[in-house]
Amino acid sequence: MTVINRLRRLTGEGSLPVQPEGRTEKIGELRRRIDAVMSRRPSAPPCAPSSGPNAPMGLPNAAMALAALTDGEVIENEAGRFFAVRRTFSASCCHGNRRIGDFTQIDMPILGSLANAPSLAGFSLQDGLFLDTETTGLSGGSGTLAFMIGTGWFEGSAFTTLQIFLRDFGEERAALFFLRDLFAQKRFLVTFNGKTFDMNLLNTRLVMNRIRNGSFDLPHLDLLHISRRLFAGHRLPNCRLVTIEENLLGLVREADIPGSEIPGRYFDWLRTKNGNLLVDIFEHNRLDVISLAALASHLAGRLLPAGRFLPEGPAASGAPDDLPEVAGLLLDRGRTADAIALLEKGLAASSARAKESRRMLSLVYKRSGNWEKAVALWTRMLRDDPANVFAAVELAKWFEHHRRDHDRASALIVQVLPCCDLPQEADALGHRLKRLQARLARKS
Amino acid sequence: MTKPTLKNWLTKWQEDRRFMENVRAIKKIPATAGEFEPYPRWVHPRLRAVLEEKGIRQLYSHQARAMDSIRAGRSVVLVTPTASGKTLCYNLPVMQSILEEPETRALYLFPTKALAQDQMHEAQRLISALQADIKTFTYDGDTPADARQAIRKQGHVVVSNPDMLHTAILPHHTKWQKLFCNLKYVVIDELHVYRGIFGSHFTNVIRRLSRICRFYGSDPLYICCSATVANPREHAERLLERTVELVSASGAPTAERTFILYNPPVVNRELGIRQSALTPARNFASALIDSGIQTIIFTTSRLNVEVLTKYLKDRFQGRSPVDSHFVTGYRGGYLPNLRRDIEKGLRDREVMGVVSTSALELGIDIGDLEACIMVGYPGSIASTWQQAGRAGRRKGSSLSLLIARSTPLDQFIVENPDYFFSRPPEHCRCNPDNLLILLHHLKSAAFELPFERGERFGAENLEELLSYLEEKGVLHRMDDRWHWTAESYPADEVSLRSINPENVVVIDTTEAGHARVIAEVDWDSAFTTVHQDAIYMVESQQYQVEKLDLEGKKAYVRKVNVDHYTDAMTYTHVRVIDDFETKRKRRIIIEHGEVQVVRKVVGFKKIKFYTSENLGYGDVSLPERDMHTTSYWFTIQKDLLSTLPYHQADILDGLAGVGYTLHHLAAMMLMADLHDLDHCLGDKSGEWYVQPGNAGRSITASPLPDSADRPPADRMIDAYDPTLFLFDAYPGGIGFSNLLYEKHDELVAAAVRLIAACPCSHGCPSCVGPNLEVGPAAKDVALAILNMLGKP
Repeated sequence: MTVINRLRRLTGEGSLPVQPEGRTEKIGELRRRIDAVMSRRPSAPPCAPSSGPNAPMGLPNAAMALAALTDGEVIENEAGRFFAVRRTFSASCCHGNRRIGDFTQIDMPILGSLANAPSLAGFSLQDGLFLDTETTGLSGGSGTLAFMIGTGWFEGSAFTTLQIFLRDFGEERAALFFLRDLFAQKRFLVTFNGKTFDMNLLNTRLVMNRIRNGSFDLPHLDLLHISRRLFAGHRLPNCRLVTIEENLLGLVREADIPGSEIPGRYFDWLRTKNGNLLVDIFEHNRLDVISLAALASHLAGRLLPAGRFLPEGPAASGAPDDLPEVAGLLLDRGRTADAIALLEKGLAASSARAKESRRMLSLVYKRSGNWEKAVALWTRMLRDDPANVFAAVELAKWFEHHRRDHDRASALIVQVLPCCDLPQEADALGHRLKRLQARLARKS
Repeated sequence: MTKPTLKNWLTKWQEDRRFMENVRAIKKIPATAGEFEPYPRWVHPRLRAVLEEKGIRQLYSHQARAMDSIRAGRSVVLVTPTASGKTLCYNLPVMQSILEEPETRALYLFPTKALAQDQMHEAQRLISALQADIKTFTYDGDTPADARQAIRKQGHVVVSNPDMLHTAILPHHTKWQKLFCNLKYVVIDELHVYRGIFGSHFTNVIRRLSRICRFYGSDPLYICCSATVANPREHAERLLERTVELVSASGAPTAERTFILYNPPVVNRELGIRQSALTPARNFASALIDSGIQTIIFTTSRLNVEVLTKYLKDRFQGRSPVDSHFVTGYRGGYLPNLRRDIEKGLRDREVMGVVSTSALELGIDIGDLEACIMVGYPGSIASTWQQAGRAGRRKGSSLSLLIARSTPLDQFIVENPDYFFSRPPEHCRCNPDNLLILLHHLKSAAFELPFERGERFGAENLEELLSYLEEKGVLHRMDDRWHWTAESYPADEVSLRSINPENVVVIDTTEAGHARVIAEVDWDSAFTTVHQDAIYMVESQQYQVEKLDLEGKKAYVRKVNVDHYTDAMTYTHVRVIDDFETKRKRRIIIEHGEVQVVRKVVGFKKIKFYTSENLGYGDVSLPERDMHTTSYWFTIQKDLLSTLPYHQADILDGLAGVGYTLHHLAAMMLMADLHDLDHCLGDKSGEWYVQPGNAGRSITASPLPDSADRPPADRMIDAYDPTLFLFDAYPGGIGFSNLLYEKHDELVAAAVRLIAACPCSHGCPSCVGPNLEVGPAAKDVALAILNMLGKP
């Protein structure tokens, strides 16, 4: 008996109708799914002739159909061939609420700060490679493939996208060779979660294809890390790219394919070679890549040094709300002066997070020994809010240690002691007060 | 007054008539001098200096032999007793190789995390003495995420377990490029653990490992260690699918050892009930520990560890108030720090008595103890020697005392000392080409690397299997390669150790609004242990099952306090699908092959505690489970049976008794758990089977739909030849039936010996089964049938 029959018997499939019917049914189901895909896309390009519900699939002219549907081309190199779609977006094209041309006003040292890679300061924006992949799964490991590698870069003030696509597994090697050459021409990399995901995956693919010389290694700005740091929690409910696009970039995608459907679509493509399955994915991936440029520009704008604020566009309207996070990032990257400038500028604005910004600024003053400004700020904070425990305590410390004025110090503590919310805080204040009073008693 | 020594106690016991009445064997195993060899010339002088400083001035002969083979590029399997310096056999060649070529990498696999930790520390001690830049790490589920990257890149010796290799290392092999490119040695300790299902999975993991090594251009040597079993080399070659050299003659000196097999007295002859093994264990352990003789007591369950520890702690309370560790328990579930404490206490002789599960059986360093008491047969002769090896390592004399319980296995072992002390009869078996297991690993392997035409993986037709997976949509063929095309991570779909990764959780709903999970039951047991109205027990608290939700995989229970427990009644019937081999012995046909097994839980008995009275029956309605597996069976012609001077009903009881006995003995021979095998009495066509019912045993027509028009069932025995099936309790089989077929005569002879030697009057759990279940004549009839089978 054949292995298959034994296996069917073991798994209890034996009694079910096998192959021919099964296969027809599967293909029928696939057709239904493709039909559903087609009907959901409002502005579908003219369909390929083979896409009618009853037309046979997997025709040899599939490649041509794909080329026609996506306006792509076959690229050939020493390792074989693969498919690619190239588009150029001129400076005047819109993406979300800004123009492509606006994205190019990026300050490279700032971008270097974001990436924590100062070497970027010496590069031009046109040296950057923006990259986002579409994969056959999210689990990682050697069995996951990047079947589409979306790349993009600035050419002058226009933006070019080039999407590498594997029409089948056999094209991976050529695609990786091409990508390797692309990496060699560029000097830094911008991704969204690429540090954890995309680049691990692509480097795994190099190993799997035994491509020994060269790895995908460039100074790397991972926008997810920065976005999390600046926006997670207080501004955005999550840090998915779509959320960021809608809230910060003013981009709302229409009829976008949900990410969870992408691997399945690709598997269907492998079986049917029906290019209609892919049109959405190309579009989705292309938007992802352009959004990388938009987001990089947006983030860099947030960190512009004092005096060089961009005219506040709608995207940055809520900017003061992110002051503490932006300033924190600047401090981390050693740009103390910029952080102070940013926070001082924010003092004027009466935002919901002014209290946090002031607190942060006062601590920067304190750490850098600028007591005069620190004291002034604490005094002001306490004047605006007599129950501000933080300001009172800091002032009390200053009176105690710098002025030896224990009277003033203890008076401040007495003033805010009833305002403590946390028992530990109250305890700590109690101790401080006791010590101060003991000193006072000794003196007198 | 000086305390009695171990020798004094032995003399005293041997003069004690009451003690000696229960002793089935006392065997003095004399001390042996070691056989030594000088260090091979190639050993690095620094390595040699460090070892000599540790007191290892020369090697045992087996160590030298193993090292020479490894040096010559041959894979080896080492079969020598506990404490014969096995670790050095692999550590020395590995360290040597790393000293010579710093890029060298080695992978050590241990079946447990604790053992891996212990061995890593041992290797690290050697390395730090060497002052060499050799990095060794454990890599398991506890390894922190931030340490993992360093381990992957820098670890010279990575110490892990097969499960981790299966789910984490192989599927991410590109991250381990450095390891796989330079992998020279794979060390596999406790090789005998990989048998049955675990072994079948393990071979496939090794197949995957070899594929990955080939991809990176490496071809490591395998260095394996195994406990003493009947077929170590065959087993190693089966697991690794390559030739392996056997190194078995130990050159390590051994101390004098006294081995006693002790069978507690029968307290109820009718029911064949013996005194609990815990009672003599407690007495002997107290006496020895009290005399300052360091003693380890092995029990077969975690519960017994706790019970016996409590007894001993009560006994010694106040005696040694300064140290709460004077006597202590030890088992999985204790926190690692506590366990390290206890191990150290044992080495420093601050702990004088330890009660343990088999957790301490494997090579964790606890120093030399003097006495070892085993409460209950550990399940295999190999384990028994490993446990016994915990006492008396190199000098002095030591005691190993095995106390039998009432189970057939225990009874067979103590009543047949020759069997125990002679050549090991236990075989490790596995079936890596079990189609279901193979298929799981094919998926994982395809995920790791695309399959190419002409590749080999297992003994089955690979291309057919790949097409099957292609048809299922998880593989995609492109020219001559099959690529993984699914979003899932296939290694997560299967566990190497369990039959069925699915579990049923048991939820206590006694307090409304405070439902909590109290236990998990594996899928197959769920049908018999948590069916509706079953009494389920956890830590001696009784719960009654209110509902078994198979779809949601949940059983809802409620606390109760009743005087009975429940025992599920299952019908099983077996139909032969294909016979692989047949042999005849007079009018008995012995065969093995593939069968279909249908099982259904039909009801349960309520059994009163202590008296085992049957309080009534209940019905259960659960779906049938159908499985294809491999089986060994034999058929006795009805005319032959009718020559026996018994009634038909008694003959049925006798056959059932034979089934019970053979089932237990077969499990022993295979080092298998009882549940890995099952038995059934029926006929080859699957048209009838024997079912224990409310009113004794009855013959029942099979419920298969195609068997509707059958003559009345009770006449079947006249019409059909009864067949006894012993089958693998796992879909597709685990490789047992072939061996049982070959060992049929041995199995029957062992069964005759077991039943004939059993002192019970009418059958008991130690021989043919509890006599309330098997019927009054079962013992005599079973013996008569077996004698008939055994006749030349």
